[in-house]
Amino acid sequence: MRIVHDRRGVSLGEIEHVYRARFEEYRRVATAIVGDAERARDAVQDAFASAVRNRATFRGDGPLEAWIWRSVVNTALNQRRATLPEPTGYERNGDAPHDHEDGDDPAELRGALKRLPERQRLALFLRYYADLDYATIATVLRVSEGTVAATLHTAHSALRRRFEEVHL
Amino acid sequence: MNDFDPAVALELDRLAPPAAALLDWSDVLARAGHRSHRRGGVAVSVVVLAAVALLATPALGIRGKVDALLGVDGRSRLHFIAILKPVAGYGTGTVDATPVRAFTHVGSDRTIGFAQAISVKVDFGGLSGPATVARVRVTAPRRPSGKGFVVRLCGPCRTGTTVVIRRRGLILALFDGRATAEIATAAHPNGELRGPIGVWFTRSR
Repeated sequence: MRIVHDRRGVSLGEIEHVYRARFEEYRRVATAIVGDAERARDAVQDAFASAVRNRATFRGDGPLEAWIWRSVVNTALNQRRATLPEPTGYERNGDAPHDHEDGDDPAELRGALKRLPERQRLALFLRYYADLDYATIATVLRVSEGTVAATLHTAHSALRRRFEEVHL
Repeated sequence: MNDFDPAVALELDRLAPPAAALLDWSDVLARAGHRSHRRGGVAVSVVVLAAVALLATPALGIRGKVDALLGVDGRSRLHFIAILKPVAGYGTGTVDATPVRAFTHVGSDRTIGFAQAISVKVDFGGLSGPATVARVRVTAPRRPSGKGFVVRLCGPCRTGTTVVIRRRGLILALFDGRATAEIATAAHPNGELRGPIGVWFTRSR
């Protein structure tokens, strides 16, 4: 679903449509950023409330969902920064490392994920949880599509390298 | 989904696992303040209050014209109805509130601030467990001194329960579109069903 406008402003119904269609994706990305399911949901609700309040300022120069994605990501980042030290997500989700049953050591990969630069993590989250294309991720992160491709490639390489170090 | 290494995908799924969507658009609107909605709500409430006053005062001699204008007549009944939707699970429900004797006892001089009793019927089904409480949440009006409040309808509740509530400000809040009904269960204490309460007229010929 992609709603693109050639006018200024967006209707309440269009925002509600995006909310109902893509809530789960917004929630998962926010959860990955914030590290807590409840606060992530709070961030998504606040982000959509902000979109409702500011809907008249939507310029229509990109997809509506990307405009809302930016709001969700920024709200989630603000939530996380407001509650330093940074939560791990795994701990808050009640998912301890020893829960793994396959014999792998996910802590290494988890650490590698945590150590990624913020932009790389955000690009990963938007790509994985929301399956956004490079153009939309670029709009959300305010970078070029080429930068998105390079960022994702670098992130994948770092994670793969770390994974291979652990398992080879 | 996309070209992720399975191990990375596994970790990402653990980081933010899928979950049942807890959609709550009314909460979004409440957080947004939703000014246009409230302005519209105020306008609607003024019109409805005027209609109630005129319908209740046949002495003015214009009741028939107002009836024709609004599409209602002297036998119309005023309802405040909420269609409850699941915040979680698959339940459904309704809350139907009717001011007691509103059309016969509300005069033109008593339309503001009247604390008429309201009969409220609560129906529901398909919940995850017994209904622990049914309540109406009223958000604050836009004036600086305004406060919201919660009116408990019943708890524990059975479907079909009817209660009579007398709470100053409730009817005005219902007219103003500031009230939301919700039914909670043990699994969902913040409300398993929820829905905004709107104004309805029904005929009783």
